Amino acid sequence: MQLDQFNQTYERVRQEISRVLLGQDEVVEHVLIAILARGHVLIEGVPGLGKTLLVRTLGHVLGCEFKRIQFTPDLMPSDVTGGNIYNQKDDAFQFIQGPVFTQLLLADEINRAPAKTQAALLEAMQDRSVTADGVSRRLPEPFFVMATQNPVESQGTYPLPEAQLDRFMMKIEVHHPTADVEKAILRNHVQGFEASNLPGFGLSQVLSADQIVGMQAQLNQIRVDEGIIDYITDIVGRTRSHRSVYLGASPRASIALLACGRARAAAEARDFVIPDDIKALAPAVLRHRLILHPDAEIEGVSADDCVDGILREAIVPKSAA
Amino acid sequence: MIPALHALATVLAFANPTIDSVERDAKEVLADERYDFCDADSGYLLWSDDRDWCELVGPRNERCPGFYELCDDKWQGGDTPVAAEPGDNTRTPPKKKGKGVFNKGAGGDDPKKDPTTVRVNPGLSSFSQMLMWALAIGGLLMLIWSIVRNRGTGRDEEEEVHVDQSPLDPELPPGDAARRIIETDVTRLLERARQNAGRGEYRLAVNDLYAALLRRLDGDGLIEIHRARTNGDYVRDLRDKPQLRGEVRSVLRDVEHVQFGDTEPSEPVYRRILDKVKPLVTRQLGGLILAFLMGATLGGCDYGDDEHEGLAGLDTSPTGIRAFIQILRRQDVDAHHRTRTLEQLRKKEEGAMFLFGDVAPSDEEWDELLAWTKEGGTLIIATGRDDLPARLGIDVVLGEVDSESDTYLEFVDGYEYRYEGLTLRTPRYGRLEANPNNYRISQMIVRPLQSQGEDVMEDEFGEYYAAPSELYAARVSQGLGEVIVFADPMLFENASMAVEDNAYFATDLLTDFGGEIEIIDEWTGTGAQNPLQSIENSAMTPVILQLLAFMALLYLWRGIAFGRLRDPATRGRRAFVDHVHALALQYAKARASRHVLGMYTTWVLERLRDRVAPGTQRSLHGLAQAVAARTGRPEAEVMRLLVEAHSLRESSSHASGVYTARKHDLELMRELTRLLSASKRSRKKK
Repeated sequence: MQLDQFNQTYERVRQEISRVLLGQDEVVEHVLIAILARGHVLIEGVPGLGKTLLVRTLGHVLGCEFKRIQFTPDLMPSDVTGGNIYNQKDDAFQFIQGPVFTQLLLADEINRAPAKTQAALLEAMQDRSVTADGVSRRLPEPFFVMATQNPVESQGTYPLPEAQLDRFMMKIEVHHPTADVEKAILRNHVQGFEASNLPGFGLSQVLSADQIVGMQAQLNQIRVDEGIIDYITDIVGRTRSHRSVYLGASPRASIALLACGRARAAAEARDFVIPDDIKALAPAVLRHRLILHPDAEIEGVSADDCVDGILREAIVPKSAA
Repeated sequence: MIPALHALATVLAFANPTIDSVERDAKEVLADERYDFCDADSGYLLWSDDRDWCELVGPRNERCPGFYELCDDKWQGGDTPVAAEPGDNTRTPPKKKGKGVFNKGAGGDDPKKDPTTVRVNPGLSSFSQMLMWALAIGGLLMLIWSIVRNRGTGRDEEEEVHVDQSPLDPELPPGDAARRIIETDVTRLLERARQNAGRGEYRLAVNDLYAALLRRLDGDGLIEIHRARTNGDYVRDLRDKPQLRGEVRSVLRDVEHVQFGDTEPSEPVYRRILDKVKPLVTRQLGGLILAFLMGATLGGCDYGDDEHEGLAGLDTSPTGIRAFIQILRRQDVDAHHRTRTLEQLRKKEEGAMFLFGDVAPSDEEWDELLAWTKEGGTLIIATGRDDLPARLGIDVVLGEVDSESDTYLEFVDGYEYRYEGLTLRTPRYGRLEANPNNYRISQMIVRPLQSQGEDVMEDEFGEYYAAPSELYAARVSQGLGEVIVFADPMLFENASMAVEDNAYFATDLLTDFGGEIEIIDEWTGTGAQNPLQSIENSAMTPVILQLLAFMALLYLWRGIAFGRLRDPATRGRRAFVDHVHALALQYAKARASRHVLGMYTTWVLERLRDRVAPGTQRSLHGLAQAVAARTGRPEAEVMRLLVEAHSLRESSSHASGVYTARKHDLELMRELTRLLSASKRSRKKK
């Protein structure tokens, strides 16, 4: 697939999704980039903002299988990954695949499940395979997890450990729509839109799973200048020395930035990464990887503030200044 | 001597202007709308001095046809003349000596001449004055804004050092990026790009073009260059200028292809980028130049054509001199109004200085003028003032005209041959009187036709001869040069150009000097020599002082930031309990309730021991007894609390795994807190 075609396909997907998901252009863009970069996203937002609808729409437009897991405190790891069930008829154990065996997985309210259940999913995300009883089973390609968590409820939740958060390529914050957007949503519903009947809304499939895999592979051809590598290294390095950050981002963040930068470049029909790609994606890639000092948290400093400050200081390569 | 002069006059006749040419010039010049006193429909209001020319101009004058009609009977004398309309260059010739003549209906009484309003137009139109003020105020505000802006951005000074070194030298280690020296001048960057391209270093050339574009946009305040800003940031800065934004984006894309892509920089690539950058870079500069030129054009004096250049400020009323100067210029005489002072006059090598009108040089200025004259210059005096320096040996007296014949002048001393047949007339009987004890006249030129009497004069050789005692114009030797003195300036006035052969004579006389002729009047020297003098002359000192005071108050109020500005720190002291709360949340996040319980109970027990049984190692039972005695609470209850606290402390030190706090634990902590409070010994007042 040529880059122009890549760009056109990307734009078609984005426009198709935006027909359903109104006022969330940045969320859609980040999610698509994460998919192309073979990453997973963590979405934080209050209920009712369309997170499930987003994944369902993605599945339809991308021609991928979609499944949803509602995480609860009593959810077990095998409920996610599956496990061996004894089959009396065959007198043998049979592995029953869990919902993780899908292409697009929505892990709803992941912070409600206990740590071991979270760990089971995160391991699958990392390895793209599930190991049960010593047998490793590959997950289908493409494999994309969109986990959600509610930022306002802390009672009865199991916050993801920082080490586990690092496995998500991006953390995207979803906010309430504006009044105009909300009106447009209502008009859609007045015209008969049903979230459960996307084909009836005229939503068309743009890609197939194989095409997505091909597009992901094409990103390896995107050129990355040495200056871009320096820029990424500089940004991530500054997170480790920032005065408000107790623990900065790991090299995994650098890799994630690089992959996302390539995806964004390809989406804009460029065969090379520019500093704007990195700068635009850095907040989403880094915000969940920083652990702040308690006193910084007390002062109201957020991870986004730290990242913004770093981006205002990191030297852009080939700058005229 | 006389034949020689005749021969000279003959020769000069071929080189000097002809009567016909001067008359034609005079007619064309006076036809200009500036001289609206020649237009009967203009409604021009004549002053008393203007009316002196009425009879001499006469009706149906070809050169100034409307003047006689303006000399109507409305003004009956004794009334204050109505001032000219706004915008008019009319000036009244102040302090004219002598008496007015030809006052129609005046009845012998002189009309009031002292105008209460003097409208002086220094040559700028109203719009030009407004534009000048707008530019001055706007420039001052921009200066203030630039100072505040540059102080407030907190830019590192090291970013503004100018050195000829490529900012993107690939040999520079990456870590030195912050210390590199950066070229910021747009012109130099373009030149360096050209040089780099000439050497085949197209990558550097492209980088220089890129830098030049950004520097231009930054200089115009459209973007803000910073080492942490990307091209996308710069494009977003231009969101209010869609067209420019599109053009800049196009350039930046091409540059990015070279910088980050696999596009090999080559001459076609360089040319393509150069063709895009050049119009963007020069457009802003061209706009500034255009604005400056327009401002200079609109705000300046008459720049319409060479004929009027340098004539701003010269009077166009009947008693002005502008028409005469224009006629001179048409005869290729370089005559112009001198606005600068008479300082450095010695540097003027040749030509003539023409004192016209009511100009009164100071003694120092007279010294300067006469010293210059002695070195070979020609000084023409036509002021009509009677305060000429005594060393000239000549006095001016303005007499009265009793009859029409008194207005005629005749040529003398050889000039009658040169100007044979010419008629000169002036409305007043001005005359020069030679000082018999200091006779310095070298040649007479013109005298009143009706001059009477002769005096016996002694020349420098001690010989006596008879000479007219009254003259109108004469030459006075001064060293290598000479002074030509006229009894009054009327021969050179604008209205005089329409009378008889006045224009020809005046033009012909002044054509001989070569070099330039500078007209000195009361406006000479009013131009400022330095900005401070300009402010003083324009009476803007109070305004400037007020602006400076305002600036000082502004700085005192807002202050000046030194160094890099940081985001304002939100100074909010939090209560201690907020910190405790924050720490508690941290413990809660870490599921450390048991640990907290253990720590708290340990502390409570130790505090109780310190209070009720200091220095002892009592058992729990003994401690409970002491606490019960101190607090007055039942011993059994105290014992229960202490046992629970002790057990919690013990269990917490050996605990593992996550402990979920129970409601009872919190209640226990509260009970212990109350017990601790109750155990405080009240301080007895002394």
